Amino acid sequence: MPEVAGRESQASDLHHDHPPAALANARLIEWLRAGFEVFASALLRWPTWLRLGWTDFQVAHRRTVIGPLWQVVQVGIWVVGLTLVFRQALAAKEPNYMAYVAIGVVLWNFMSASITQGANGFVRHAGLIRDINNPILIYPFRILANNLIKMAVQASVILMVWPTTTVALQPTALLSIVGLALVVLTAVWAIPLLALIGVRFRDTSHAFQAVMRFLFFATPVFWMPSGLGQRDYIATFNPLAHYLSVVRDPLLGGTADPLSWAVVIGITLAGGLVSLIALGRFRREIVFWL
Amino acid sequence: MVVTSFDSDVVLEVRNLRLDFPTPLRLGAKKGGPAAASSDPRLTAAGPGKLRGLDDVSFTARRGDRIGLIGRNGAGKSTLLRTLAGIYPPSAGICRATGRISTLFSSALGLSAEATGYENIHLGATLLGLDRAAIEKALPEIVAFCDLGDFLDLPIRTYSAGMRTRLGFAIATSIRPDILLIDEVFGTGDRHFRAKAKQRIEEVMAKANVLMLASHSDGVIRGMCTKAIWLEQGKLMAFGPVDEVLEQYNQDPSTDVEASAEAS
Repeated sequence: MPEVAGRESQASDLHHDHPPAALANARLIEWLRAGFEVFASALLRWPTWLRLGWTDFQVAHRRTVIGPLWQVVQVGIWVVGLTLVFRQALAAKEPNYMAYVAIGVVLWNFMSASITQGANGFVRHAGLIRDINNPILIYPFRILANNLIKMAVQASVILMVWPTTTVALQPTALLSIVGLALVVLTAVWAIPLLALIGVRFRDTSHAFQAVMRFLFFATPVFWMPSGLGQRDYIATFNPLAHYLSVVRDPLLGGTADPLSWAVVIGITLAGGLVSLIALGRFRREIVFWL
Repeated sequence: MVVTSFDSDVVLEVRNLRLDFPTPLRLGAKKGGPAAASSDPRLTAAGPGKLRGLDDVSFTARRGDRIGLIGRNGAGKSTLLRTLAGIYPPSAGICRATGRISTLFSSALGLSAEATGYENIHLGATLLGLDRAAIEKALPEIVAFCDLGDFLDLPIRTYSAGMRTRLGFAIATSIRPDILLIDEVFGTGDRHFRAKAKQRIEEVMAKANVLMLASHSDGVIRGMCTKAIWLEQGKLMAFGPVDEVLEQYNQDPSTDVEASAEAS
């Protein structure tokens, strides 16, 4: 027997005569369930999106002499440059400034690429989505895989500058692994959600591109919130600052502010829920919005 | 889900299939009011903001059927293929498919221009759902069929359109689908490739499958198909033996090139 796959059109069966509140709840649960399916079906296809992301990484450096080393050079220049220019002014007494900047830049690159590329996640794949019947989230996950690979390569810069630090690694440093897991988990729901918003509202990707450059300066990538004095609220109200904090602070001998952990865990859970519901609700519409 | 059917030969069953596209265009709301609404039934039938892509399409494909899809531009050929493939969710009606579906809707097949032919075989095959072991197994066959030799080591930006089609076709047929859906990709292939493609389709069909092929070339349709579906403005006009349907289609005044040229 060949593998049997049946499909039937599923006209919405939700408009029967239930009271409105019960109806709304039933719908939410239905969308949530559908959202889980949308995510699970694509996650199960990990060989596909990993290969796509990996090929993207290789192809990006084709015909160059130093290849993927460019990732390291690019981050290295940022880290050395920012250190040379800003160390004196921003953190003269901070012995670990270079490592602080290195971790900040690597994480920032991952987060900002996830946001700007995420907003184009479906739009960029219009041809493939229309040509092959695949779980639709394999394309956002391709972007995720590509950026994870880049982050792993770029992280070598952190190792290179590590000898400049005075940090004696504590067991609490392991918390940064938890922080990193939360960063990645956030990307898992945020890239699909941004792709969904971006395919419906085409202004999204332009808006994010416009904002991200400014956001780089409004996020403590190379400056320290403590150095801002009264303006440290810039870091307090910037969620990306908390995401940086939960990975970077434990590595550099501290433990992140409980507020940062609360914000990051809260956003990860709430955003994940929103993303599940939104993709469950609009999964069928995506192909028509392309 | 297992589809039970009284007739186990039925591979594809389509009943009263309707597909409405949402469009940003709101004809009634445009200046001039509703009176200025389009006279094209595809734009009015489904109400404002909708475009009727398929209208009440019904047919049944049985094991071994090779069906050509014909019709003018915008008749709904690609829409029907995409709905059958599960890419467009039907707005109403039933669309049942039994077995593994492979699609070849563009010779690009997600291919990456900077990647080599071999890399693209892996990319294309994994996009079609093959796992690593299956790809390794299918590789020699794909290499032999596409006949690209050492070109497979070059990035495919160096390929001609026909060479890309050959590669795409080789990958799409390598997964041994039960249902193969092809949309107008033979235009770029040379005669040699078409002969090979036909032979390949015969091989795939030997396993008792269904082929649906949209094309504007009577020659391609006649050469590859035994039956044909004629679509017009989203409606199914005829379904039957390929020669009969082609004759009907070519005799229809609205599709007669000379007649419509005189009329305008």
